[in-house]
Amino acid sequence: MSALTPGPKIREGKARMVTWSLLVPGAGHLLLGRRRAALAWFAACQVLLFGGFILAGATQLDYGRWLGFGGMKMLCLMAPECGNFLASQFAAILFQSAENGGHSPELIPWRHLGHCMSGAGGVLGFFSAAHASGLVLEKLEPLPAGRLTPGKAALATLLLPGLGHALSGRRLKAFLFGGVVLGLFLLGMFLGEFADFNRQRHPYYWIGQMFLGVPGWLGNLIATGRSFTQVLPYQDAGLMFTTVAGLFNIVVGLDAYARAEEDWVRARRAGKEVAP
Amino acid sequence: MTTLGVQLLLLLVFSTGLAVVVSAYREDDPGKILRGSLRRGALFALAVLAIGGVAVALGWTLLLP
Repeated sequence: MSALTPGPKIREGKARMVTWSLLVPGAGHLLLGRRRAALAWFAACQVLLFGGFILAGATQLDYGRWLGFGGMKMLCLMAPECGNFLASQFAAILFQSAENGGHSPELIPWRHLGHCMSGAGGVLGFFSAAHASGLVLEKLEPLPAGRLTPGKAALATLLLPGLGHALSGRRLKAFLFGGVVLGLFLLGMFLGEFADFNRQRHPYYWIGQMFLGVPGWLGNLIATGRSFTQVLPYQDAGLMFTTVAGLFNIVVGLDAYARAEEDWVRARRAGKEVAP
Repeated sequence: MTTLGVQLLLLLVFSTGLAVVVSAYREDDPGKILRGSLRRGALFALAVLAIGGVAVALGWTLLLP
């Protein structure tokens, strides 16, 4: 029995859509003729990115790294904002960090919200690529409307870990994935006395934490401004648990996408066998 | 101050989580996922304990000032 993977033409189309969507969220949708979806993805990602930069006084740039030759700056790598690649480069050129200008970031009241917004915009950029990639399958190998597409399954994971699997009928996997990701996240937050989410204090951990999706972003906003006042006995474990939960959520999203794609291909093949 | 008991408990929790995610990613059959989780969780926890044991043994012997 051959593997349940789409043919080479679809794989090429998916690679193209992912590339375009990572450069400009919504570009992949536009190429597939989904104008409304393209506009929605583009607007959501850019409002979050530029709104976040304005609210945080562009202090996001303090956590990025410029690449180039000699003194020439060519690319600014900011994670996870790089999921919205071209706009993040434009923002890096357009803005200057308030901290560079001599202001203390402590004086920027909305900086945590700003960081959360721009980070969420980048993560959404990555998931826009997954969504556009799923649309290629939907376009080239259509099935009756209402079926779960791989892109929607991945997107559901961003909304709630395990939701993508629940929608595809995999209850045990939904329970296990959701339980592990949310359980590790909550345990980590508890161990860190709910001060784990702080880009200023631990920017590398923060990148992983942002991939928790909506529950993580809400947790970030609820715990805004909290920081460690003393060395906690298990703060390292807490930071690691929350970060690993975010990284696990990427695995969960990939699996939700791949299983929904398998189901789609299986349904197409079954349809072909039944058709005269 | 950390205690050995809590650290072992955290290792157990993390091993279980890691094993569940890896098994559920690799398999789609519920039986295989549960069996794989047990096996991988035990292997990971034992590997960490073994490495920790070697580190403690070295600390008490060769690396003692």
